[in-house]
This record gives sequence, C-alpha cells and structure tokens, in this order.
Amino acid sequence: MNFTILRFDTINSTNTEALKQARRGAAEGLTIVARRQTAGRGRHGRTWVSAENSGLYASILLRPQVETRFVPLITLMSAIAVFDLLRENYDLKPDIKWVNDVLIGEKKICGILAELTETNDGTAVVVGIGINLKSSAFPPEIASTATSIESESGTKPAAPEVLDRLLGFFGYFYDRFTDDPAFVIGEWASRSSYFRGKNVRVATGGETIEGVTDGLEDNGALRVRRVDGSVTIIQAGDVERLRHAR
Amino acid sequence: MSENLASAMAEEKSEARRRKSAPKVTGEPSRASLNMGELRELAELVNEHGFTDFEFENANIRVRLSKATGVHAVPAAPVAAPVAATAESVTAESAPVAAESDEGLFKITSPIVGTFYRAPSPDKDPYVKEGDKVSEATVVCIVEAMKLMNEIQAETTGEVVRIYVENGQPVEFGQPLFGIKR
Repeated sequence: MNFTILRFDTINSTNTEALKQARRGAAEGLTIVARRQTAGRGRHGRTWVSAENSGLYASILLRPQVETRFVPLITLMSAIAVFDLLRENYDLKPDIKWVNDVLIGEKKICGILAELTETNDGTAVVVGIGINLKSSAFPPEIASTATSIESESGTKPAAPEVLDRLLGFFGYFYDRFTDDPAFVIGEWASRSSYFRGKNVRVATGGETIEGVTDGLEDNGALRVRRVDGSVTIIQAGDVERLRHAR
Repeated sequence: MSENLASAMAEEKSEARRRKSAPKVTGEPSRASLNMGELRELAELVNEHGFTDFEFENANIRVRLSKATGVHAVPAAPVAAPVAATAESVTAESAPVAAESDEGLFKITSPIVGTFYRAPSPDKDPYVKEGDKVSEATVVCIVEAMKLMNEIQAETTGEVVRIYVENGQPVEFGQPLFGIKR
C-alpha cells in the first residue's frame, strides 16, 4: 500500500485528525504524524503521554475490504509490525501482551489504539501508534512501567526514521492481512508469550477473571482457561501477568 | 436504574390500558397543557418513586420527566431543581395511543462481537440516553473488540426509547443495543 504523510508540529490527537480526514474522504494510507500531541488518547480516554520529540505519534487511515468479523485483527497485525520494527532495526527482544501492547522486559514501549467509523466512502479504521523514543520525559507515574527505544538500545532514533521503517513493516503486513486475515493469528502466536500457558488476570468491562491463556479465537479474542476448566473468551479487557498461578 | 425505568414503563402501560377501557373522560374539558402545580405534583411523585425517566402521553398532551444522574452531583432535595420537566402539546389526533412495546421499534444491533460502552470514557456523558433524538450519523455507542473501538451510528432517524445493554457488558453479533421509535 502507499502512504501519504501529513506532518504536524503540534496536534490534539493524531487519531482525531485522521478520523476527521477519513470523514472528508481521505484515501487509505493517509498517515498523520506529530512531534507532540496535546490530547494523546489511549483506551477509554486514558492519556497517552506525548511530549515533544519523546515518541513517535502516528495514525494510519485504512479502508479494509475484509469480512467485518476479521477487522479487529488489524490491531494485532499492527503490533506485529511494531514488534518486527523493534527486533529487526533496533536489535530488541520485544513481547506482545494481549492484545497489542508491545513490551520490552515487561515494560511498555508501544501502545496502539484503533478506531472504526462509517464514512460516506465506507468503513474507515484509524490505527494510532505511539512508540516511546526516549524515557527522559516520562512522568513519574509511568517511569517504572514504560520504556523507550533509547533506554533499551542505547541509540537515539529520530522519529522520521522510525516512522519510515515502521510503515515498511506495516504496509507489508497489512497487504498480507487483506489477502488472508487469518494469517495474523499464527504470526501473533509466534511473537507473543501471552498466546498460551500464561497466568493472567483480565479486567473486562463487567468482571475480573484469572486463569491461564489458551490461544486465540479466529477474530483475535483471547481464550482464558479458569481453574474450574471453563474457558472464557475475552473480546476486550486489560490483561495483567500473574507471577504465580492461583 | 433499569429497574426503575422498567417500572416506569409498566406504569405507563397500565395507564394506556386504562385509557383504552375508558376512552372518553367526560366532565373535564380536554386540555393541551398542565399548570405548574400539576407539573410539580407529577415531578414529586416521580421523584418519590426514584424514577429517572417518566413519560406520559394521551391525545392531548405528552409529558416527559427525566432526572439527571451521576456526573453532576445534584444537591438532595428540591424536587423542582433536579427534575427537568417538559410539557408539550401534541396536535390533536384521534388515533388511540398504543401501549409502548418493542414491536415496531427500529433495533440498532451490534455489527461485531465485543464489549458495549455507552460513553467515550468512564468520566464522560453517554453518547445518547432515553428520549434523545437521533439521526443516521448520530454515534450511539462504542463496541470494543481487540482494542478496536467501533463507533456505532444510529442509521435511522427517531427517538431512543430502549437501551437493551448495560455499560461494559459483552455483546454478540447482531444483538439489539437500542430501540428507536421512528
């Protein structure tokens, strides 16, 4: 796929801008990138800290032509692209925590938030990707749980270079996804320690459950086997690793 | 809240039934409005029973009372303040008002399996609530799956009269989320 990059110095949120452009009819591949976000968003309105030049803040507009039930696999596919970027270009050993948090040594280095909206030109999906480039601007509340490319690799990557490399991986995996969405599951499984046998606690909208991970459904949902042997399928929730089985 | 609403609906239905059995009330001229005293009395009654929404309608008048909940802490007490009351006249139509049922409602269904959210974030107001008017492009909720936030649009024009799912609950493909009176 082809990317058209729109660069901003400061923006409220790259996702918000990309959604706006999508409603105006922008084509697939539009990428909004900013040096700083004033209202960077995570899941459920959580803040994504977006200090100037401390991270790559980018949102990519997609217009996927796949079955609706497979569309959520885009977020897993995006994590795979970031995983390979970090492994191939920065010599890091990432992990993926369900569903698309990219970690280095259990610290978060990348967060991905995708939003879907219907436009006059069909379904639009905006994938927002935040990659921490350096740790010095981390506020105290995330300093112990977040990390950055600079902290982990010792190199000082520039955002444009990281974006350029990221889009290479992203375009490759997105093309494969549109050919055959099911490929995502196997690729995710080979990169994530959370795929099977991980003791986890999952906070969903309604309840918190504990159990052992037991693979993914074909739409990317996480299977968690509980102590009583029953399997709960998680479509949305926060996963936390448990050190000891309970 | 849903229980209260259910009982409010039940009361409304029984009212409609009563009207059906005795369609003509003689002796009192039909009026197209309520005075402030009657409104206040109604608001007190609704407040007393803990309802958050109440709706009454006959050939001449339609009254909807809805009480703001959560978010803005409303000081306890004066009934007139927390209860917003609206009274509007309805053009006189002789057609009997049918008891409210789900039949004939347009159902907004979930396009995917996921988790249902009524607001963009926990500290924000819901996208829509009962009584709100919607049009095709109105966003009514989010269904999250695999950290993909699906904005669900009304895809019709009308009024939200039913909300079938609680915030944060899982939903299936095709499951009704809202009932819209068109």
